[in-house]
Formats: sequence, C-alpha cells, structure tokens
Amino acid sequence: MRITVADDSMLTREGIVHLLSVAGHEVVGQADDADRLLSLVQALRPDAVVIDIRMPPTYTDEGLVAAQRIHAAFPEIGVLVLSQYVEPSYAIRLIEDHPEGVGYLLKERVFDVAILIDALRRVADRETVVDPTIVARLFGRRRVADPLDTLSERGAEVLGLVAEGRSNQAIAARLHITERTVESHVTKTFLQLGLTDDPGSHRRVLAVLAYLRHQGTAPR
Amino acid sequence: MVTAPAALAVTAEVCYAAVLRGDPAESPERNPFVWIFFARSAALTALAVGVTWYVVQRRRRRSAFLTLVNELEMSPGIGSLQALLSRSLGDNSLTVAYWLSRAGRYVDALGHAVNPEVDQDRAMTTIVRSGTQVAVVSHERAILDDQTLRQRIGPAALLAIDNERLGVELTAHLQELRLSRMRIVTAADEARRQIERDLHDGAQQRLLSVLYELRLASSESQEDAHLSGALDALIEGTQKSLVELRELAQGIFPAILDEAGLGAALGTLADQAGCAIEIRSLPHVRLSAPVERTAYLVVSETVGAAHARSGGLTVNMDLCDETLTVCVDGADKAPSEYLADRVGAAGGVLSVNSGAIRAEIPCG
Repeated sequence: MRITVADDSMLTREGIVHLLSVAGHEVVGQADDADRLLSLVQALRPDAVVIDIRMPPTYTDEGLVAAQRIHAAFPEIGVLVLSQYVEPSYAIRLIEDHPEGVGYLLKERVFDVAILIDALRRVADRETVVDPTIVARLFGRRRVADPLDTLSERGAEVLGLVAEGRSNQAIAARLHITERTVESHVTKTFLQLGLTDDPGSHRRVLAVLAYLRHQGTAPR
Repeated sequence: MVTAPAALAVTAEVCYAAVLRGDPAESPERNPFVWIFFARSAALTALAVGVTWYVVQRRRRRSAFLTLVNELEMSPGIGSLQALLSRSLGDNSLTVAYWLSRAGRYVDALGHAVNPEVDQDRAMTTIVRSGTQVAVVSHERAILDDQTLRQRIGPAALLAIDNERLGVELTAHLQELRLSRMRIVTAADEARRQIERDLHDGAQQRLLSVLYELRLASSESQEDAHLSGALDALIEGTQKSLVELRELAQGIFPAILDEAGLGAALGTLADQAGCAIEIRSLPHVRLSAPVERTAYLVVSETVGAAHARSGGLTVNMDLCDETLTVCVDGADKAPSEYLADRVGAAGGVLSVNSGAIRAEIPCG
C-alpha cells in the first residue's frame, strides 16, 4: 500500500512511518498539519491516509475535518483517524456521512503493527474501522431496562464486532462459525433491537453505534 | 421677559416727555402723540404679561421643588432621584453620578461606571457632605448655575443623594463581587483545561513513545522467550498507565465539552457513569463556555454522588428566555455546597425538591 501520514507529533509520525516501512509498505508523504496533508493527498493520491485528530492550529478536531474533506474529494482513499480520546461522538461524526473507507483508532493501538496494517487494509478496502475500546465503552453503558440484556451471548458478541466495522466474513473467521450463522445472528439482533437499517449494508456500523449511544438517552 | 418691556415703557415715557415739551397742547390729531400712545400701551401690556409670567414661573418652580422635597422625604427607591431632580429642575438631560471613593470611580444609580464629562454647554455641581464629595450633578448651564442648583437642592435632597450613593455603593460592591467570583471560576476552569492539555500533549505522548519502543523491542526479541515475556508485561503495564492517565485527564477537564458541546459531553459521561442516565432534552445551540461548564457540572456532580441503582437519573436541559434550566431527577443526595457556589458564580440559582436538582443559569 502507498500511505500518507499526518501527525504534528514527530515521535508518533516517525514511529508509524518506521512500522509501515518495516512491514513493507511505502510511505508517500508526511505532513504535520491538515493543509499540508490535503495538498499531499491531492498530488500523491495514496491508497490510505493516517491522520491525527488534534493538529495545528486549534488542536481540536482538525484531523476529523481533514478526513471528511479527503473522503468527500477522493472517496477511493481510505482514511484512518487516530486519537487519544475514547470519544464515541467523534467516531460517529467521522462515519455518519460516508461510513465506507473510514476508521477511528486509539493512538496506543497503532503501535501494534498488526493492528495498524489490518486497519489500513480495511479502510483501503472500503470497510469501516471503529476502535474496540469505543465499542466496549458503549456496550458497558448502564441503561434502565437494558435491551442488550435480552440478547444471547453470541448475539451480543456478533453485534460488538459489527460495531467495530467487521464484515460477516471476518466475524465468521474470528468466532469460528459460518458466514450464514453470522448473518442470521445479525438479522435476529437487529430485529430484537428494532434497528431498521439493512443489516448487510455499510451503514449498519453507524446504526449500531448510534443505537448504543442514544438508546435510553436520546433527546425526544 | 420683564426687562425688554420695561425698557420699552421707559423709552416711550421719555419720548412722550420730550414731545410734550415741544407741544404742551397734546393734540390727538398730531402723529407723534398717536404713535407714543400706541407704544406706551404696548409696552405696559408686555410689562404686565412679563411680570405675571415671572410670578407664575417662580410659583411653579417652588411648588415643583416642594414636591421634590416631599417625595425625597418619602425616601424614593434607588435610581429615582435623577428622575425627580430633572423633573423638578426642568432639565431632562440632568444626570447624577455618584463617587465611589474606595473604587475611585463614578457610577450611575444602577452601579454602572460612568464618566461625567465636562463640556461647554453643561455645568457640573459637586455635592459635598461632611467635607466628602458624594456626587456630581451634570445639568444644562443655561437653566441653572451651580449656586442656584446648590440652593435649590437643599438639605433634604442632599440627604437623599447621600442615601442613594450608599445604596449605589452597595450595589456596585455586589456587582464587583459577582464578577470577581465569575473570574475566579473561569480562571480555575482554564487552569484545569490547561492541565488536561499538558497531560495530553506531554505525559501521554511520552508514554506513547515508550509503548512504541517497547513494541519494537518486543518484536525484535521473539527468540528470547524470557525477554519477550518481560517486555510484554511492560507493554501491558504501560498501556494500563496510559488508560489511567487518560481517565485522570478527562476527569480534570472534559475536552469534549468545549470541542463538541453538552450533547457529546453528557453522552460520554453517561457511557462511563455508575448509574443509568437518560438525557431527555438538550439546548439546540451552543452556549457560552461558562454556562456549558456549569450545566455539565450540575449533571456530573449529581452522577458522581448517585448510587448505581436501577432507577437511574433523567436529565432535562431547556433554554427559555435566555435562561438554561437544568433538571436532574432521581438524585439521592443533596447537591454539594461547591455545586451551589458554582451555579451562584454563574449568576444562577440551585434548588432541590425531593430528589430533583434544578439549576437556573442565565445565558445573557
């Protein structure tokens, strides 16, 4: 893969670049702010981009905004946003317009080269990636009369992997079950929770995240 | 009003005397006598009108002033003195500025700082009581001079002015306290926010780079099972420290609140809370940072004090008439003094009614 990396922290940027090079991927372009990243992406058209969420000038959500702009202009480029915050609302904001080919990972996870390469491959293949810590936090939220309690153990497990953006095929491989079984779990769980989105579409990730985030807390 | 007709009357009389000397017969057919007759009549009529107007005006002022004294004796409310004075002295532009000696500035009756400027058409009268300056009355120079004003204002008005100044001083003092309380809270918030940033950009980054080095070392030492095991334990320990540091930073200041607003911040609070939180309504617009931070604290403090129970908490935040009303139902402890202080510092009021905590925070 040809990858562009943007992070204002030189340590993180060079760490990622080193890991990617060792794993045999080509790093085309490094940027320390969003503007430089956008011009690099325009010129180099990489397969995927790694972006830190906090960058100059305001150090808030520049990375998120840049990710959305890249995604809108070059939908074929996979975008992986890195953050030190376990913030479901950022992840939801990132994937809510176009869930295909975007990902939100915690920074500490990408230093595990296997996780980094897997995430980049998935976003480059138009999949969605959501950090498992974020999914775990949403699952762990206390709810009055929690509908998640009505799910079977396997059903909840499958739902969690769906929220992480895993495909049915990947879920089947992970849980050592057939794709058909995964499909039936997903369909059943969606029915049980009253989710109306197509359980086979890319939007299912967003549907599950939004459900977990707002169930029992949505402003009416 | 009186001098002009009087001068005309005198001139007419002098002319009459002069003409009479030349023609003692005073023949009514002769022109000068006709003209002098008309001039004398006009001058005397004007004189009569002028004298009457002067007397009426004096009476009117005196009675207006008596009313003023009466009204002052009934101790008018704060802020009404300027209106009373301008009415009784017939000067709509009259202003009263009170001198706050401790703060070293002038304020109006509501405690707002004013700067009584000297200009050509206006006169300033300084009101002094017991040798101390208490106020400055600014008025049209044409209507009254300083001396007249001082005489007119009299002892009753002076007392009232002094009283009003004391009231104003108190109001200004309260206003200052309110502002300084707000400044202290804002400064504390900013300091916490800065600590959160420093942790994020400093310690957290450093731990991340340690984690990176450890992972590199671990991947290069796969053959040495002992070393690899030790490195994996270090990686796990470092990751735990990172998680703890992140939670500490978030507890110090929720960055998401400033960046994405109350909805996102309360969502994250609900993700981590020990009890269920149901958010029923939220304002549809972003509010100022002090208001959002105070509203967030009302919920987070209540959540922190709540037990994990099945009932959970419900949160309603409604914006109406420039006031954000925050209601947290299901609280099982009275709010802390700190929370009441925080809401008070934002100019709001905190109340409790059988498990319902309610804060009204002005947003204007």
